[in-house]
Amino acid sequence: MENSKCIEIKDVSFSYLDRQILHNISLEVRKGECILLCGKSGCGKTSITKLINGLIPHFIEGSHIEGQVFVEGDLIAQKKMYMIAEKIGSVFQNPKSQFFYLDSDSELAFALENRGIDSDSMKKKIDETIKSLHIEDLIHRNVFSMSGGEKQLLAFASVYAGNPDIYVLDEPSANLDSNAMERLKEQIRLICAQGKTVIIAEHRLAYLSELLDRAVYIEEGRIKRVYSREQFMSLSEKELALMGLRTTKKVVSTIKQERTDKKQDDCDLLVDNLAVDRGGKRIISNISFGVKAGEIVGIMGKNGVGKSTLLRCLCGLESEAEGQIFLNGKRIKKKARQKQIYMVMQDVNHQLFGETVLDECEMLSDGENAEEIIKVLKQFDLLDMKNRHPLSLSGGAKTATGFSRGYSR
Amino acid sequence: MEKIMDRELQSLKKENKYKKSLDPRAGIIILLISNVVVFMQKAAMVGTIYVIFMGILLLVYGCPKSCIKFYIVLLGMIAVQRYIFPYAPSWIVILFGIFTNYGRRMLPCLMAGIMLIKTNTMHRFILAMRKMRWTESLVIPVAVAIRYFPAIREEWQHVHEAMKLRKLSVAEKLEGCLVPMMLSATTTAEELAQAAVTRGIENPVRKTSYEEIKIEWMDIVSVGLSLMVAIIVLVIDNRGLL
Repeated sequence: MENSKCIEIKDVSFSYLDRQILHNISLEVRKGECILLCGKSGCGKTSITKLINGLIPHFIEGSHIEGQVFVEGDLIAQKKMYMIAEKIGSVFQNPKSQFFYLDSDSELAFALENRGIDSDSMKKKIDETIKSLHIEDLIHRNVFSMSGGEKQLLAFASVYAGNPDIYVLDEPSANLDSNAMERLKEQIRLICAQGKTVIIAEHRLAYLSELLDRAVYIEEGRIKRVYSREQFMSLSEKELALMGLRTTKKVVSTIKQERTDKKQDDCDLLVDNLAVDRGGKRIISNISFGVKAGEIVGIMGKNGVGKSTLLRCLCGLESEAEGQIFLNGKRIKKKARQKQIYMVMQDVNHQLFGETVLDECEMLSDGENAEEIIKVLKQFDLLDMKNRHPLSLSGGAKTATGFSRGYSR
Repeated sequence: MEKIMDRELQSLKKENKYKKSLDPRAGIIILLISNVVVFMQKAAMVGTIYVIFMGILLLVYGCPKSCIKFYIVLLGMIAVQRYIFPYAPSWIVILFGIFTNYGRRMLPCLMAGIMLIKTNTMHRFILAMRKMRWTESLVIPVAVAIRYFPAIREEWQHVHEAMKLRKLSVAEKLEGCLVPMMLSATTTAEELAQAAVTRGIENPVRKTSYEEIKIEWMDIVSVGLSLMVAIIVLVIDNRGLL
């Protein structure tokens, strides 16, 4: 009697606004499995998650779909969204646009209130959620005062409170630091241990390596291959790179604690004893380092430690409270930095002003000829998309556009 | 990091303790009363009494900053009308007269609105609307509209910063403001709707709530007082006593 097939996708093709996104997708997921959907950005991972949680076809307009999707024997296309919502919980990529209320307590209750559960059992469920997910630090908070990572953990918790059988997670780690990711991993581990079915579309693979049962590799809207955990973990870095995937192994960094205070004459960008205040608080202080042209420097640290503040100061969005910044031996002040140093922001959406990708690059590079821009676009793999609107691209391609624009400057 | 979090938590708790909450239903009634005052009075001068009363109400409900701000605006407008307009060239009077005159009249509505927003969470609003048996097709759009204001402010800051990093002409700046703001507004709205729909907002059952709101004596007193002051103001205004 027991039907172990929990989710069944039968030969589904999907197109949106005349663009074919998924081709003949077939996939079966057993109850309690943890499935990873992986592939390059724009390959169709997100669309597959939407097939399962019902957003396709119920929510997305202008779509054309062939084939059928069953969840626990029911045809998704024939169920109402709120009925699907009781069985399937979804966490999305963007932490900013997932919460409905403005305070965390209300948010945790949201799914339960919608189902009309009485307030006593609702409180019990919320307390359970808080305890089992260890999110005591997130309650009684204004959501706008939370970091991206905290918002994402809250989004997960509010789905967890609704106790769905199936979790669909679309790039849940996109905005998280290592600390928040560790917490997310524990949350996913918990639902796996509870025997829930979990579908995750993800770029970051390492944190899932212990959790996943199978990995589905998708390329240009087709399922290329389905790997077992062992097969997937034994892929070499080279193979992964060819597939456009990130590492599956946890990177253990071995950075030597060594101060690299260089002399002014051999560095192109020099930061000297920098301190920055924001909102009356000192965010960073005593920062000194030098960078040579062509060097790539990684700045690491937990969320909230001041990484963004340092970068914002470097590109002239914050003024220095103490210390100085030199470029090629000359001190540059805030206004000049805005012109000479470019930053690709975390949310690129705010930075794309042009009507097409090409236009976007032309707007910035004053006087540079078209050939130069084409060359840059080619370098960034964006040439095929040069006539599309920047904001219609997938997340990864948007970032690349932001990059190439900064580059063409 | 943890310290910052602690501080935030504490300040949030303090805020909640300090601010007394006005029941949203009482708040809406006060807003309606203010509207009546605004649109029925003939002389703007009498309305000042009502503005002063609303300021006191703001103080009682723990919003001293807003109270002071509104008083300053009121005083500024009166000062301009009394001491600048009589001596200013007529075009200035024509240009700014409408602004000061009608601005002053609108103050009570703004004050009632601010009081309503500052003393309530969005959750309490929605709860109140549901208790008043508004249909869900009205409650949800209103809720989303309220939800969206702080988001717009955040968006605006980001776009503004992004623009600083590039040279743009004024026309490009205008376009550069509007286009990303509108586009991100639509994507945010869509993502928000997706999140709400996948968490069952369309469920037709009667929605429940983890917190309860009750009309308390203080709400009744506030509404009663506003009504009284409003009647007094309108009577004085009608008889031309001031």
